[in-house]
Amino acid sequence: MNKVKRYAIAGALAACLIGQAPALASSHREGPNITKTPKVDNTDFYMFRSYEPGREQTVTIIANFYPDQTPGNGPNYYTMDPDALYEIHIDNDGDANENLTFQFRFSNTLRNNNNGISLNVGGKDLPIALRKIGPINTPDSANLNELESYTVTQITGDRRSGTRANITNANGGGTSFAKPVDNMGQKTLPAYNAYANQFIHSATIPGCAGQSRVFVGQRAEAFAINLGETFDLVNYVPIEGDSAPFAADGRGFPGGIRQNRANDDLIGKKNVTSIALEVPISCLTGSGNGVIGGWSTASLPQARLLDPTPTYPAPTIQGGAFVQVSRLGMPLVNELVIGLNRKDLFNAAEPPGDGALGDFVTNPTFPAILNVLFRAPVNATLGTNIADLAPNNFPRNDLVATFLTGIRTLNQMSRVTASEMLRLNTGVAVTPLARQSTFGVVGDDLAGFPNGRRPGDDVTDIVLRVAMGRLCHPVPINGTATDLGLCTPANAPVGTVSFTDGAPVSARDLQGTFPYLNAPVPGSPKTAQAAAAAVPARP
Amino acid sequence: MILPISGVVRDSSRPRAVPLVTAVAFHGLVLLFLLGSVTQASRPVPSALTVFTLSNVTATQASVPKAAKPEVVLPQVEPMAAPAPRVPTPVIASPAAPDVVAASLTQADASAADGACDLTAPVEAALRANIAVRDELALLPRNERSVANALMVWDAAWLSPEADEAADPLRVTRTVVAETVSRASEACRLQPQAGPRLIMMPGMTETLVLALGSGTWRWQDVLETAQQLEQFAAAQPAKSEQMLARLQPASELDP
Repeated sequence: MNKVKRYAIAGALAACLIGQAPALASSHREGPNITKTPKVDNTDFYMFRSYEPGREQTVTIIANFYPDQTPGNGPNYYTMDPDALYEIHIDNDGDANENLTFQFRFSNTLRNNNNGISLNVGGKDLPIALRKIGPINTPDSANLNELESYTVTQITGDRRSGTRANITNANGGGTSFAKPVDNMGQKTLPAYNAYANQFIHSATIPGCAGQSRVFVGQRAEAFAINLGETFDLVNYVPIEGDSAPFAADGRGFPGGIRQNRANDDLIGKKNVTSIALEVPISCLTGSGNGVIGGWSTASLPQARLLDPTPTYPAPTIQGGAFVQVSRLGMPLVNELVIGLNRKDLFNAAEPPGDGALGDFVTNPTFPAILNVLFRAPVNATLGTNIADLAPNNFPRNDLVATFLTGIRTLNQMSRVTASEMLRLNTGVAVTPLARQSTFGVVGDDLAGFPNGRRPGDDVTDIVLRVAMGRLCHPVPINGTATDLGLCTPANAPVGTVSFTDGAPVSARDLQGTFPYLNAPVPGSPKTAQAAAAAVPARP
Repeated sequence: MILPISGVVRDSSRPRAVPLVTAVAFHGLVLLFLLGSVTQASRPVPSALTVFTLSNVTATQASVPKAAKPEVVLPQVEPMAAPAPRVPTPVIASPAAPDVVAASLTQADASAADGACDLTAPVEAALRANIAVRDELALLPRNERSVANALMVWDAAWLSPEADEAADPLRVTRTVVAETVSRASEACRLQPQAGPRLIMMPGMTETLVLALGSGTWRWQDVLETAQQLEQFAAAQPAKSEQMLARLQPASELDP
């Protein structure tokens, strides 16, 4: 090809991109721009002391990506982006900058030097169109056409300029870890659990005593949310309709929603891709007070040129420095707190810059919207005359403590820098799975959200209640009503009301061993999918 | 595939006729794109925000039954267990705190001038350094603690995990708390505190969380409620003395 043609193509590609900002992202499709790049859309972030028996001296961190995975969505299913950086960051001294980063990079290959498995058809060898050519029973099955692997690098200090060290596979010492193929269906993968469990790797982190574990692969969604109705101007009455969750007595708020898996749009219906890492506590806490702040990000090269002649290993051309396009620490912040015009900016921002977004937390709009939607019906139903359902303490110090600083002596670092991240006090004892409260701290369980986040914490209900002033009222500590001193009951007239979206989740719904999230809903048969969706929620 | 800044596009196998002028112009755009705006990835810092008042959100009538039920009670967020029994208990004297406690107290007192005095750290240090406290806490029944192994011990009054006053399971713990607080400056003790202070007590198998305080309170309040109960010490000296005999400085506890 002559130079003129080459330049013309390059120019055309550049022209396509020049007017387009880098795609930005985080949480389930919550930012306008992240909807363009689902592979790097960070949907949930969990960080908790491991409650698998025998692993209590470790912290498990799970970063989920790639939302809205419909089981059985072949032929390509859901691979990670090999051009992206997927990262988990830890701040352990309270300056809002990462002290540790665990960086994941993916590599996708086809069999036969990226040509794929071929069949001889009528004398011609042609690559097959599918990701497999037969049942898959083992990690190295020759029937699998496309293989995914990844590396993990620990970076001490700044994520880009810090000291890098490869995390190695304890089984063999290599730096490459295999990722299981998605759950295509029971004919292809007749024993998916057993198959996927073989991809839980023991890992060695340089400078870290003790064994770690890592797993990356498809999992069933564990984020409970009544999605459609909630974003349809809350098209239900968001107050518990029973006297208590699962009481099934209809003696709660008149017309209020009641807990039912059928209210959920994700659990039992959708899958997600999880990056799960188990690390000894002592390797995370550094010189701090035992509280760590964590968040996950995804970054892409700043320039991406579309190629009119894409190949499997290089469908596009990348260039420039990495730009953060997705960010997630505390759940629902970017969905419900940050203004629509700033969501993509929030995804690109780093915690030290969060102060400029503080107004969204100190003066939140979501409670005001709920007030407008429900004040009149609530007063009519109860015969009350509540002037404003939303809390009136401004700035909302209760939300600042929850989302930006941590709660003093519970999960606040010794140095306090207002910044959005998930904070975990690694000193608080593990609550066994069977006794975990789905409401976390407000449910008298200090090991739960917002002290970290476990997969069984119903963060939608908790955040909804906290937004409406739950922390202005006493919370139980071993049954003793305790005033957190952040605001007063007078500030939150409905702060003790059991707001809920009616979509429950608890640790009892999920597996109790690493990586804690359940195996993905199978792509086939439909009877199995229906069975997964019909599994009732457990209190 | 990652290209350096000056990356060029691979050859296309599909020949096309493209005017030279367009090609040159596009090439310039490529260079501008890759060398100009695409250089170092800046770390965006959001600018200051203006928060608008909510004035245009339309009220929506939710599908709530209009007929009000006469005996509706708003359900609580989660059922709360019955309050822990409040048991008046004696406070006894204890030996001098170890150096680590003294240092922590000095640091706390230094913060008194700017209104940031908090005795959590010295109290925690004193409790952790005391083997008798550890022994006492280790004897607490598991079902007297929360699921995350937490225990409220002072909430404007000393709380006991057991209703049986004679058992007095937190006697030494209270003593150490009171004694440590008494050693702080008055300026520090009188400063208002907001919310509970959680003290982590690492144990052999799991950490116990001791909670002190609720709402607005002062460390002085802890001391005063302790002093009011001193007379009980004389009534039950045997266990106190036995426990006191085991108080040791931190340096003797290190393995």
